[in-house]
Amino acid sequence: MTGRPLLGLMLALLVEARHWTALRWDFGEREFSRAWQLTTVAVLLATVLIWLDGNRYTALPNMLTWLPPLLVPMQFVQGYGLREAMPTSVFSFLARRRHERNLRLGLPEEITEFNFGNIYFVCVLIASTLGNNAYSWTFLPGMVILCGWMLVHRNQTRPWLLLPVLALAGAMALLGEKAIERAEEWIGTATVRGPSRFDPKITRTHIGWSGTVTQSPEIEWRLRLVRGKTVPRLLRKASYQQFLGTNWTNTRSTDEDFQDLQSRLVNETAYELLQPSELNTEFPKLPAFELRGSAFEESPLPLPGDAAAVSGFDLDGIERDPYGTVRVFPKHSVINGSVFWSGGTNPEEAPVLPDDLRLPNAEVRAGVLQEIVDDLRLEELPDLRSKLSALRAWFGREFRYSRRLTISRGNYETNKPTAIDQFLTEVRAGHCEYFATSAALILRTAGIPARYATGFAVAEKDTKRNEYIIRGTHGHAWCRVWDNANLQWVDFDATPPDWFGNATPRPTRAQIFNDWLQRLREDFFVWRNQPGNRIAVSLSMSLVGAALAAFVFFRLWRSRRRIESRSVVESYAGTIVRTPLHELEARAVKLLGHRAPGESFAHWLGRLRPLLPDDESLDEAIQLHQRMRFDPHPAPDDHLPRLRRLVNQLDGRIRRR
Amino acid sequence: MAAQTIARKLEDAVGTVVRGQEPVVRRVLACMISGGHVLLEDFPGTGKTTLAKAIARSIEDTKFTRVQFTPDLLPSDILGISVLDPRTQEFRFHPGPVFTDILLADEINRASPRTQSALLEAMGERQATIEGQRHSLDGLFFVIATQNPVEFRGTYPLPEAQMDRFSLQCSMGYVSMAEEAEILLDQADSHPIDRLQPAVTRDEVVSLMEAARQVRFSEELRHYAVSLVAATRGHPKIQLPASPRASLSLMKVSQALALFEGLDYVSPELIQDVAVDVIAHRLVLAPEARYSGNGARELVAELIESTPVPV
Repeated sequence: MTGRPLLGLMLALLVEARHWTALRWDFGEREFSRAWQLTTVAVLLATVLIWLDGNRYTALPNMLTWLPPLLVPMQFVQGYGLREAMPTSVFSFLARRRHERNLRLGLPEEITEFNFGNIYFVCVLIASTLGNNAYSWTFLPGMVILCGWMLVHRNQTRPWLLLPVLALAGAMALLGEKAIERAEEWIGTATVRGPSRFDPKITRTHIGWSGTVTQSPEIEWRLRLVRGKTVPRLLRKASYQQFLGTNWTNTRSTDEDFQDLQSRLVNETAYELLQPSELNTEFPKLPAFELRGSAFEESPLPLPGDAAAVSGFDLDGIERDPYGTVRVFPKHSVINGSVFWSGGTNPEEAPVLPDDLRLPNAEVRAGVLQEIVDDLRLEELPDLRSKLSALRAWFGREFRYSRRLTISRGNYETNKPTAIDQFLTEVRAGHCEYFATSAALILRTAGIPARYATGFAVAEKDTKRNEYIIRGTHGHAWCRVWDNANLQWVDFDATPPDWFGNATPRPTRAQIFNDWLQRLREDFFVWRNQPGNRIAVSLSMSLVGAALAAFVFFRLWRSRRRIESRSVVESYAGTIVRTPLHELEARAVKLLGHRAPGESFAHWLGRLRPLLPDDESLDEAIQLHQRMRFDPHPAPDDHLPRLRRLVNQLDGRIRRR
Repeated sequence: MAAQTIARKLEDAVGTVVRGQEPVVRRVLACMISGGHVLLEDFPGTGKTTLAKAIARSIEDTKFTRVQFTPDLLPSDILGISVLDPRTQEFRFHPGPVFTDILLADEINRASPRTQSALLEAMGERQATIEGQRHSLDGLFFVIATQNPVEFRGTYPLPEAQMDRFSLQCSMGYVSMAEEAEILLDQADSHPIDRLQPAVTRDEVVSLMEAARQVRFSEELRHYAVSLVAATRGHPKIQLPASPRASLSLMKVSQALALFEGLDYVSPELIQDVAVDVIAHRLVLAPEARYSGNGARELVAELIESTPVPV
């Protein structure tokens, strides 16, 4: 629960106050079951809230972090009840029923009991290690010291023996922490930032990789037409400039290259995206669509290549890089807003020469690209439109779309052709990354600046709900081509158009259910985040919570009792004889640990016998002590000096150990 | 002869017959010396009768009777009956088995409550009222009652008030395998009880009972004994706590036990030793505690652990 110190403090106070107060309740099995039911309801509610609130990869750690407050009813009935342990049947409806039946019929039954405090302690430990502050340098040493202190305080015996154990535990905890950190990093990079790993600096393609490309069928975004005739066909996440054999990279997409769009705020909620920087206040008249989906810190917003402005998203920040990638810092995990497009210019800067014409050396040497350009007579065609249609026709005629990749990577030493050359000359089958990369390189060879773009294709329409659905399987790659006549970038998709039917399998029943759940979650979220609803939701939740708390408090207050009623035993007020053996107690504590209140002194000291073999003096000393202490007749005069001598002797022997 | 020596001789004599049961033998003897009675809750064949007989045989001139309790047993079957003597035309009293020194009441919970209470009056008051006439019992009247812990059908469980008449309840349980093998060897040709010679005289035992009353009991330990019993009062798991009779028995039994330990004063360990046997059977647990698996003995053990003992 680190990260919410006030709540943690209040819980700790509630749990620990049982040691300072005499308030107790006579909780029986019925109350244990009630507490368990309350806990179950709380856990279910929290599960729903966590599911609504965030992404599923952090749901489990999130849930564990919240366990201590959720389990408080159980700890309360254990801590403030008069019973030391609760039966295991509390947790199972069937076991409870069986137990009740046995009680009714008077059948014998074996009952297993346990103290919930231990479970709660473990839960608190787990929750604190998963909390936000668990990675600070003080956390682990603090934890080890606290646990060590607790052990020493409980056992009292030889604290130095605990040191190696604690050191070992500390080392193991350190290792565990590192492992968790790694795992979290991995989960973080793999999933948290977006369902498919996204980096504006680099995109790793499947070029030169053999196997079948698979993508998640889950819904990532949903589109709804707001104004205009149609929605865009392609939504771009990022463009890349430089091809390195398998990967496309950008040199100017570091965090510094991202430009904050706060200064481009129009009408308070709309951010203008276009380059160059004159604000285009005409955009409200442009075609628009609504975009809804899950987003995280630095998520790229999928936008049409000629997006003009975005509006209505609940954001902490929005940034754009020179390649036109727009990334957002959302306030909530689900965002919803409008996108205006078809403005005639682009969010990205004009091409940089010669970077946008650069070809990999291996391709130049092989000359395959130049041959194709010559064959298609691309350089002789009059305008960009005819060049692109010639290229598209060629790809459509000669190539086949396939998600099963067989091309292996070329290698300079063996003179094997590069993957792109194999694709263009021999195999002529591949998926969108091959088509987009080849098209970009061919266009560059023909002297046209081109870039590689990744994003989604918008093709699946849910006519019932009148919205377009973008799934992970709709992830696509295409080219951005510089139209020198109109001075803007245009999309060019070289992949044969039948790819979409090929890539989209029929959704399974599970997927349909999953989609329904996801829609429900996102729509609820969007509804809740509207200003008025938010207050209404929190107000009604607080009211229900307060009413429940008041009811529980009222019931508890009525049934409280104090534990004083138990202690009818008064302490002895008469005189107590002290003998020299009492002085041995402090030293014996170090060897034996503290004496339980009900353990007799003679019995407790008797445990020293195995430590002092062949020593009669202990038995004799105990005997003399008992005599002096408990015989009402005065002991003979020689008893006291004899006992003192024996005690000195024993003290020396114990000290030498 | 010093009281401690008599106690030792008596214990040794009984120990030659009852094998592997030293703690129980010592407690039962201490109970007898303290003037109380004992309830043995045990399975058949664990040596209850042998124990009673051995105690009787070890003491010279003692009478031992055994009554098997059955549902049709009448009070007169225990106490005795007046019969008309045709020669003298007078009623003559025929004393029942209760007029003895050591009485083994086997399976006491099988008799009807009426018969049980006839015995219990004798135990509590050391007298029997028969046809309006009071007959006082002998100074050395010691009852060893037994009940079977597993059979419930056709039994009349002793009422709580009557459980209180027993100073202590304990069980012998089964001995270890090695000891059982030794018992077989012992009884190969004749029962050791037939060879048992009286070790002490009746008068010596009576003097032992007097000596037990003289064993010193400090004021602080008196307070401790009372606080152990008082701890059962107001306890949430206990419906009927222990009475002052429990404190009294605790004192008397621990005094007698001190003699067997060779002491002439009581130490806190002796009180702790017998506290479970003395207190537990007098308690009635609350219903939820009864079904929680832990019995009264475990509860008293917990109370001993949590009540501060004088050091």
